[in-house]
This record gives sequence, structure tokens and C-alpha cells, in this order.
Amino acid sequence: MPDLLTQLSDYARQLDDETPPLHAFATPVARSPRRATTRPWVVLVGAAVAVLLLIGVPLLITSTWFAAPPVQEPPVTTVAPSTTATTVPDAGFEYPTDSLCDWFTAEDMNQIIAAAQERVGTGWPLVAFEAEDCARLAPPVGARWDWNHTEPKPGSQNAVPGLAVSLMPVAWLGEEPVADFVGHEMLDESVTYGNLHYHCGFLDLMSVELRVEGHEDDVLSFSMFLYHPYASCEGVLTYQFGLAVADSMLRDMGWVDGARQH
Amino acid sequence: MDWSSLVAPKSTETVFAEFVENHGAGLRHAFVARYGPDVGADVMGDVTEYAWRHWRKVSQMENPSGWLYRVGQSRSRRYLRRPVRLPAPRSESEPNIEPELPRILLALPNAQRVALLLTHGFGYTVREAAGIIGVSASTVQQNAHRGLTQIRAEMGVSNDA
Repeated sequence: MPDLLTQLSDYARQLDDETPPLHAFATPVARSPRRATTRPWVVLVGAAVAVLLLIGVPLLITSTWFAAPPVQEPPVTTVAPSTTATTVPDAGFEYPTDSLCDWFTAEDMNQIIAAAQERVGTGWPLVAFEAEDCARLAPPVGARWDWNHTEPKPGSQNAVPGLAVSLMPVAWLGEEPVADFVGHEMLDESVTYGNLHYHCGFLDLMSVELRVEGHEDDVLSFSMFLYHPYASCEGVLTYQFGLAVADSMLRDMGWVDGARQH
Repeated sequence: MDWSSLVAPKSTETVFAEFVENHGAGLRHAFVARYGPDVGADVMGDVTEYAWRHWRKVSQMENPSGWLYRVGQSRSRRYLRRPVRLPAPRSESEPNIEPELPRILLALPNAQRVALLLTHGFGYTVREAAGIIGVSASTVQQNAHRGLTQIRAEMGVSNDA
């Protein structure tokens, strides 16, 4: 039997190996509360979308005309836009005070996540649920943890927790964001705003701020990060997944009219 | 696309990532030593999320790692129903580890186990380990020594043999 110190070292290495992948974290999706008025046409568009969803969802599910098939790659979104009433905010939605929690339910997020995963070809076992304080969390199935999200400090543009997605640590991500906006109908350079961060390393990060035409003062900030101690940069899944989620969210929010026309 | 025009040179996310890269491994080892691999990973997850949420404050700290270790201790309360568990030595890859070592380690006081595993297990210097958990180097050294002495007594060895 080796000496005790060698045993301790070997056993520590085993502990290191057997430690479950560390968790991914908050994905605050925040809007900057700048605008004080609700635009009537937004309400009208929302109502129209709601009617379309209620009437046409069965057909949409089978037709997938909305899937926005990529130009080059075959992945097609077959998950329908959210069908819950909260997908389309009611007339009382106030941009300055309401958050995306008023827009997306956990069920909505499950659909968005499913759609995004289908697009990027991932199979992370995520199920969203509603947290207490305006957040949508999607930890891995069976995860034994959650978070206590705290309210942000006023004036912090990107800290308003409207919606959160936790990603299961997975095989790691990319060195450079080689993916572009292909396949994401709602996204292009014209709707990115401010910054688009991507960091690959011990912690993988992605942050996008979106600004849709007609909503120039309403910045939609979306960020996520994965944490995986064993990971190495081998792909661009986080980046692709982030784009797909943002794309789906904008689509569900009925911002088609304000975004790039196709 | 010119990505360089879109990527800020030192965004908050980048700075935070660098922080985790620099301090995450030590904290993770400390939590694994304290709570075992299962709960330790969950605590590390909570702490990282907390650090992100409170980054403005954390980034100003002189020793954020030590403070976050205490945050982890606080957050660990939610896992009280899950026992601290250390896995049995892998017989196939680690055949030379005394099978009773996990049990003996678990029997040590927490501070001694953490200090011992950080210094003699994961290979941190006493000073590094002290920084990770936010105590003095002498405390780490003392706890590690006491833990090592206790293990030797339990295993019936008088020295490193």
C-alpha cells in the first residue's frame, strides 16, 4: 500500500473525476425599462397573433410553414409557437414595468428550448418551471437544486431577471462564434444591438442584446453561461443555442412586423 | 462578419469568466472536500450563480474566493437532507487506496478534512488553500496536520508509510 500522502493524492484525483459536472447558471433575459408607453399597434398585433394561434395551431403543427428552414442546413423547427394565452400579452402589458415573465410561461419556455435544441441538434434534458420571483428556470431533469433569484438593483440595464434558463453542462462549446444568423429568421445584424459577447473557456458565456426595428429603445438582453470543469472548446453549441432561443422568443413575441422583412 | 467589432474587449461576462477560471477550481475542490462530490457540485453551482448575481460586489472584494466559500457554506443548508458522501476508492483504477480512507476522512472535523484534502490531496500550497477558504495559513496548516495525524492513528501508521 502506498504511503498515506500518495493515497490522499490519488483519492483526491478520484474525487475530482467523480464530481458531477458543475451547473450552468442564470440566463437573465432582461429588457431595459425605458419606455413609458404601450404602443397600440403592439396590442393589435398581439391580439391578431393570439387569434391566429387559437385557430391555426393544429394546422401549424403539421405544416411547419413557420419553421424557417435554414438556407444550408436541414434542421427544421417543428415545435409550434407557444399556444398559451400569456404568449401574447394583454392590453395591460407595460414595457417599463412588466418583464418577460409576463410574456412567457414555463410551458412557453419548454417549447422555445425544445425548438432551439432541435435547431442546434442538442438533447439537453431541460424542463422549465416557474420560480417564485419572475424567472423561468430550466435545470436538468431531476436536478436537485434551484436558485433564489434576487431582484436587481434599479438602473442595472442588464440585470432585470425577466426570464432565466439554466443549461445543463454539456460537451463544450466553441472557440469562435463561427455560426451566423442563418436559420434564424428573426435575427441579423440589424437587430443585434450594443454587443454580442462570446467567451469560451472554463466558463462559456454568451450575451446578446437585441433591438428590433420599431422597438429601438426596448433592448432585449439575453445571456447564458455554461460551466463545465472538464470541458474544452470543441463547438459552438452555446452560441447557436443562444441565437435559436432569441430567435424563437422574438418570434413568439410577435415582433415579426418590426424585424427584418423576409 | 467582423466579429471583432461585436466583441467587447473586456465585458463583464469576460471578466467574470476569468474570475471563475482563476478561482473556480479551488472553490470547487474545497466544496468537494467539504460536502463530497454530489453536494459539493451543487453548492459550487449555487455559489457561481450567486457570484454572477452579485458580481458588482464580489468583484470589489479583496478575497472573493474566501467570501464565496462562506456563501457556499450558507447555501449548503438547502442540502442538509443529503448526506455528505465520499465515494469508495475505485478498485480498478485506484487499487492502492485504503478502502477505509473515505470513512476516516468523513470522520474528521470538516475544517480538518478540507484543509487536508486541499493541501495533501489536491496539491494546493498552504497559502493557496488559506486563500480559497478565507482563513489564515496557520489555520490551514494546523488543521491539515491534525487531520493527517488523526488519519494515521486510525489507519495504524506512525508516519507516511
